[in-house]
Amino acid sequence: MRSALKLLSTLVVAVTLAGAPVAVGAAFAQNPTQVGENPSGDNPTADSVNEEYLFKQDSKIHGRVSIPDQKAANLIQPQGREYRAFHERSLPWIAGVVILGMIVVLAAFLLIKGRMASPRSAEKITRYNAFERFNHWMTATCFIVLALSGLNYIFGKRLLMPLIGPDAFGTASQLAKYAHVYLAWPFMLGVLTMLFVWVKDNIPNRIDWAWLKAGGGVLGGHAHAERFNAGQKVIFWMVVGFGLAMGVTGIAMLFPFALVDVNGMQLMQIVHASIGALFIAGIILHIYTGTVGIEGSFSAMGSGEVDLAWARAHHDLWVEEQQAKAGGGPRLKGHPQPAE
Amino acid sequence: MKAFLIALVAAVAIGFVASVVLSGSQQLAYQKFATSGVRISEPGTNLVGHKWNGDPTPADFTNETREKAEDARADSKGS
Repeated sequence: MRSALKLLSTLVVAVTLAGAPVAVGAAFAQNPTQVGENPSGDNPTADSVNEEYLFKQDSKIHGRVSIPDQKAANLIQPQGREYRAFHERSLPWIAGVVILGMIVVLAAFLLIKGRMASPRSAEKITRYNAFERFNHWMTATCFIVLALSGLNYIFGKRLLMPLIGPDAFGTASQLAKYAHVYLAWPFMLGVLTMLFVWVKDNIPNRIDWAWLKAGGGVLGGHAHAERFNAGQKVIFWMVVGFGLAMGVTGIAMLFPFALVDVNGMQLMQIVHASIGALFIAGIILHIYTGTVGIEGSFSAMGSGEVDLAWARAHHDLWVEEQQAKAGGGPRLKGHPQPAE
Repeated sequence: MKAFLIALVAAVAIGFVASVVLSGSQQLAYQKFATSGVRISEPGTNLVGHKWNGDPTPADFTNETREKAEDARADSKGS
């Protein structure tokens, strides 16, 4: 009898253990509540404060800090995401297309049309005095450093770092950043000086319109020009306009939170980088026309003197004006041959 | 060539002056926002408890402890 009871109790325990998982599974099957979900079916955080709600109160989500820098309390500002998307995705493409596009167009132009030939003579005429050349080269050398260090901000980690490694890239970028910040000042000074020195010769007029219609002599025929032709005036106003814009936006970033807040600085960076890409493309065009594009043009900024026949071919009205001022001097009779 | 070399020297010289002026007028963040201390809770309390044993209790946050802390701070400023 005792052993029968023991056997019966053992069977009951065994059946219970074997059937328990099945019973629990059946119970879960009756109740569709998933693990981790509130059994009552309510969402306990439905009425809690969320990101969408907070953005209805303010444009930013910020907490509270006891340190003096209250900006440290800023947690989320949506414009930062837009800025990051522009800086990391759009900007490299924009800058790459604009700059490489200009190089490709100029290379194609050079291959198809060749260098623009100019007539030669044995006489020279002063094109730019020493101060003009000094200011041009100061601005130009600063611009090249600013352009390269600026491009490093966009393309450095993508192109340069894989080549030289992160340590060398970090050191180079730090030095480039110093160069960018400090050489911006002589560059801005140079742009302002250019404005004051050359503005009187860069006021657009009817002659420029005729020069543009003649394609600057490239399309055939002769295009009259004063000291600066319409193409040079475009470059001048681009340098002044873009230079001042780069200066203002650069200063706004150089002194954080002094002029604008974080949103303003992000906007300044977008404007600075976009204009910078266009500026570099425009200066590449300027370098092309001043060196490879037009024969005999580099000496204007090199030695300051150009061939008199070259000057009459490209700036005939200016030559006449200079000769009238000098009260004679070397004169070439008749109209010069158009530049090819 | 002479104008070019003088331009290089001038650019470096103006850049150097800019570096000196900017370095003098700007402060690093840790200098500009330096503080002598940080308040992390109400006066008289802290995150590790009144006895600094890592176990703050509601008894720590009494008016008495708060006033005591305020008095101590006033004394330290006065001295």
